[in-house]
This record gives sequence, C-alpha cells and structure tokens, in this order.
Amino acid sequence: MKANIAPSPFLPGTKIQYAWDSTSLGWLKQCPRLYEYSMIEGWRAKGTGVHLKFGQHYHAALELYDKLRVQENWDHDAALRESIKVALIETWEIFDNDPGLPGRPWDSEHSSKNRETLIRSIIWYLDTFKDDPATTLVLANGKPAVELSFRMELDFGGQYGEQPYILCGHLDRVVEFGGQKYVMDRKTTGSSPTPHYFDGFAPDNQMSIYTLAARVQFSTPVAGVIIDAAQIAVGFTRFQRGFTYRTEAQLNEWLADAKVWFAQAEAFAEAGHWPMNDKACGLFGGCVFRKVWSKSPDVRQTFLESDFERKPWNPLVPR
Amino acid sequence: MSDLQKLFDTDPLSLTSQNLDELIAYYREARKNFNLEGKSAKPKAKAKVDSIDLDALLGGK
Repeated sequence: MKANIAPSPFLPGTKIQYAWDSTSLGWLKQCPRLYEYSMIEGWRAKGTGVHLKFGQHYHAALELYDKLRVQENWDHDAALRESIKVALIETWEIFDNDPGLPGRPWDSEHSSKNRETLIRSIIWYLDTFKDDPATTLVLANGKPAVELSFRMELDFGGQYGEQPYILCGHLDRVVEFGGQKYVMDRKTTGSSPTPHYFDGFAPDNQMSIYTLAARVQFSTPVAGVIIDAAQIAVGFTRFQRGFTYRTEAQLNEWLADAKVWFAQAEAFAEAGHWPMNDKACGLFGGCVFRKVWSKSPDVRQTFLESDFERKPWNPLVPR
Repeated sequence: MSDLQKLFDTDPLSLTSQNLDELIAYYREARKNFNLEGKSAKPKAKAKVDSIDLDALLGGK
C-alpha cells in the first residue's frame, strides 16, 4: 500500500530516475539491461519474495528489541520475549476477505528460511549479542539510532529541470564500538560468512551510501559499517561480524562516480535503450534474467511473463 | 505433534508469556547444544599407521 502513496522516483512523464537507493544504483552499475528490467519495468523472479520477507521480519524484530532496550529500558529477557511475540504475530496470516476464518502460520515453502528458523535466528542473535560491546547511539531527540530512513539531497541534478538527485535508504542501526562510530547492517545469507564474504564489501555501493548518509544526514562521523551476518541453515544459525571502512577521500570518489552513473542513466532513458552488459551475466551466481536473455529477443516476453512478475521498486517508499 | 509445533500452530495472540518462554527455552537449549557440538568437534585423531618393512614385503630382496 505504501508504494501507492510514495512519490515516483522518476521525473514526471520520463524514465529518468532522480531518487536513488543502493539497490537501484547497484542494478545500473551491474548491467543497464538489468536496471531496465528491474527498475524501469519492475520485474521480479517469482518465488524470490521469501528472502525479502524473511529479512524484513528478522530486521523488524531486532529493531523492536533495540528500541525496547534503549528507549524503554526493558531488560534483555522482556525485550526478547516481546520481539518474538511480535514476530509470531507478523508471520501469522489472516484472511482479509473473511476475518472469521482462523489464521494460519506463514508457510514460506523454503527449507532454511521459514517461520521456525526466523524465530530461532532472532533468539540466537539476541542471546549471542546480549552484552554487545557495540552499543546503540542515542540521537539528539532521545530516540535510539535504529532503522533510520534517510533522503539526502545531492548538490547536483540532471540536465532536466531543477530537481536535484536524491540518495535514499535505511540504516539498520548506528553504534559506538571501540571508541568509534559505525553504521551496523544486519544481513542474512545462506552461505558461510567467510573473510572472503566480508572482503566483498570494500568497495561496495551499499556500504559507501550508508557511510555517507550517516555522516551527512545524521551528522555522525562514522568510520564505516559493521556487518553482522547471519548464516541461516536448516539446523542452525551462525553469526559472524565484519567491518568495512571508508575514508572521506573514498566517499568523495564514490560521489564523483555516482554523478557519472546518474548521467549515464539519463542518457539511457533518453535513448530508450539500456544495453546489456553480457560480461556480468555470470556474476554473483548468475543473473536472474540470464535464462530470459539467453533466448532470442522475439520470444523473450513469453519466458519473462512465465517466470517473473511485476513488483515495482520504489526507493522513496518509507519503511 | 510436538509441543513446539503446537506453539507455532497456535494463534500468537492467544499465546501466554509462559508459552513464549517455553519457545525461547527450547531454542536456547538448541543453541547450547549447537555450540557444544562445535566446541567438541575436535580434529579426528590421525589414523595409526604402522611402518612397513619394505624388505619383508618384497620377500627380503
């Protein structure tokens, strides 16, 4: 429903995007055609919603716990119990068209990302980091720095109108750790979070945006991002903490690059053509659209419509 | 149906604090066991290999 009330991230009557988040910019950087299909047209592979939904419930529960602990001074067990209760309620499906029918538990049809492993992961994470040396910052308004949505107006725009570009997104949490401040980002993954996994965040589009947002929008001189990765397996959840740092010079470099990327996106929109970067098709385990693009253009639409559905992505939707 | 499964199949609005504590206790126990398994998973002892008398094997040649 929120998608309907949020403004469009595109300039009116065009396909020129002015509000960007790490997801949409990531698509563009990876492959303009991927950006066209995912952002301009809003195609999503059917069945991938489970990862998004699992992540949303996981984040929401941890956010609630942080708020209860910092803002309401609840003790660990009480805040944990409440977070679990709310997670169970949020994953209990009721029938909107007939409220008289009994509800049912969310069935993800996924062996490792389901309601039970969600509850287990929340409990294990919160118990693991019960006495976390990374403490949540309290903002000037007295609220804990958790789930902070940001919209950062840049000092440049495209060649159309006066609308400046906007960077937007959500920070899970801002913390203090070892005398320094960091954005904390919680991630769930199906694979083991090895040092190689964490190396993948430097450089990284999302982590650069998060660092920039914390420094500019929240005036907090963060050193970088702490990544709390949770490996969700059928029988266990394993946690690993990693760090990625950004200097001022690196962030300025990132911004200069972003300006060029935005101009590229504008040029693609003007031309009505987003070229395929066929050297990226095999990256990250293979592009979701690879199966479609491997077909001749004249039959692609049929394959697209059978395996994908339209779920537009809007960086301006508040969380 | 296990007690845990019953809890998951119950409308969460009707779960009591005690029910929630049972659920949490179950997963705490599971975590404890998982951590114990990890810590006790010592590398397997090397298989004992007797030295081979090649001369004897080759018939004293």
